Amino acid sequence: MNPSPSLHSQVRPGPALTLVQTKAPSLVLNAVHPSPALRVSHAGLAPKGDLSHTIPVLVFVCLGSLVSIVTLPLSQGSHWARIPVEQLVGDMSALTPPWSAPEEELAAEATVDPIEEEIAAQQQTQTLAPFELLSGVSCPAYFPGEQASAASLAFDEHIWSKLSEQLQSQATERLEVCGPFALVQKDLIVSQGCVENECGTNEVQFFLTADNKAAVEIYVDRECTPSSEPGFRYKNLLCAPR
Amino acid sequence: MALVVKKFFVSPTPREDGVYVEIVARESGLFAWLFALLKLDPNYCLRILYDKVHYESSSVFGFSKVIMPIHSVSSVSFGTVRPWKLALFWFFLFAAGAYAAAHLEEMQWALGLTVSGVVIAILLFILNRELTIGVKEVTDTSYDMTLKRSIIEGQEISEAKLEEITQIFTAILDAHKAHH
Repeated sequence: MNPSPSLHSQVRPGPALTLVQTKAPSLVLNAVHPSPALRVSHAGLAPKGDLSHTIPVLVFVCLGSLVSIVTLPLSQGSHWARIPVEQLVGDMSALTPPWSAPEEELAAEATVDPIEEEIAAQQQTQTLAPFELLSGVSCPAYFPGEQASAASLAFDEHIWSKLSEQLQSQATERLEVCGPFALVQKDLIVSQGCVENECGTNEVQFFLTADNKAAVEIYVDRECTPSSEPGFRYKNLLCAPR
Repeated sequence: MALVVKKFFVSPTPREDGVYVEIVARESGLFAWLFALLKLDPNYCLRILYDKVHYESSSVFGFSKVIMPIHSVSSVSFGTVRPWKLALFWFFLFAAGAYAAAHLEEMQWALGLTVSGVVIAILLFILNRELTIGVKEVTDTSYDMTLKRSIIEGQEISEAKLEEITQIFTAILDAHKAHH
C-alpha cells in the first residue's frame, strides 16, 4: 500500500483591485449615424412587377372570350352549345339502379300477362313527350276533332291552343292534304303541310321543339305569315325560301 | 388581416433622417379609413436605418415600439399570395349567369354578365393580391406586415419594390462589414 501524498494548501495571492469607479461616457441622445449611400443592383426587378398584372388580365380576357364564343351564338338561337338539360333530367329519372329492382320483382316481370302489358304500353305512351308522340304522325291522327288519341291531345295542348282564332281558321282550311310530322333537326319536328297541290301558295306547317315551343307558318296566296311563341329557337326556318 | 399602405419609401440613398426604408400602413376597410381621417386608426410602421430597425404598432388603445440593432436582425423576408381561386370563383359565377341568360336568348344580359365577370375577376385579383414583408430577430421574434392595395389611397407596392428592400438590407450589412 502506497503512502498517501502530503497535500500542501497554498494561497495564491490575487491581483490588487482598484476600486475607482469607471466613468461612463456621456451619451448623445437621438444621434443619427451617418448613413452611406448604398449600391443596389436593380437587375431583374422590373419585369416581375409588370407581368404580375398583365398575366391575370390576359387570362381573364381569354376566358371571357371563350365564354362569349359559347354564349353569344346560344343567345341568338344557335343550338350547338345548348346543354339539353330537360333531356338529361329525363334520361336520369328513367334510369333505375340495379339495387332498386329486387329479385321478386324481376321474377314477377317474367310472368306478366298480356293485359298488364297493354296497360303498361298505354302508360308508356302517356309518359312520352309531345315531341315524341307527334313524330311520324300524320294530320288525321292528330288534328283536333279527328280522333281522341294521345297525339291529338298533345297537338291540341302544345300547338293548336296556342294559335289565335284567325290562325286556327286559316290552318283548318289548309289541312286537307298534309304529311306527317318529320324530324328536321335533332330537337325539332315539322308537319309537312303540303304533299300534293298548291305547295308554297296555300298551305300550313306546324313546328314543335323538344322543349314544347311551337310555331306555325301559313301561306295565303304565296304570302307567308309566321307565328311563334317566345323561346322558339328556329325562327330562321319560318317562311324560309324552299 | 391585410394592411393597406399609407406611406412607402425605399431608396439606397438615405433620407435626411437616415431612413432607407419606411412603410406606414393601416388596417384595410372603409371603417379603418374613416378612423384614419380622425387619426384614430391602428397604424403599423417599419423603418430601416443604417444601424437600427424600428417596428411600431399603434392604435387608439396604445402603442408598441421595437428598436432592433441591425446586427440583431437575423433575416428579412418577403413574399406574395395571388388570389387566383377567389378571382376564378367569381368569374365562373358570372359565366354561369351569362350561360343561363344565353339559354333564355337574352344576348345583352349574356354579354353584360361576361364582361362584368372579367372586370370583377381582374379587380379582385389586383386588389386582393397580398404581399408580406417582415424582419426576424435573432430571438426568433418576427415583425411582419401583410400588405394589399388600397382602393382609396391607391398605393400599390410591387414585388420588385419588396425585393429592393431586401437588397438594401443586405447592402447595409455589407457596409457594416466593410467598416469593421
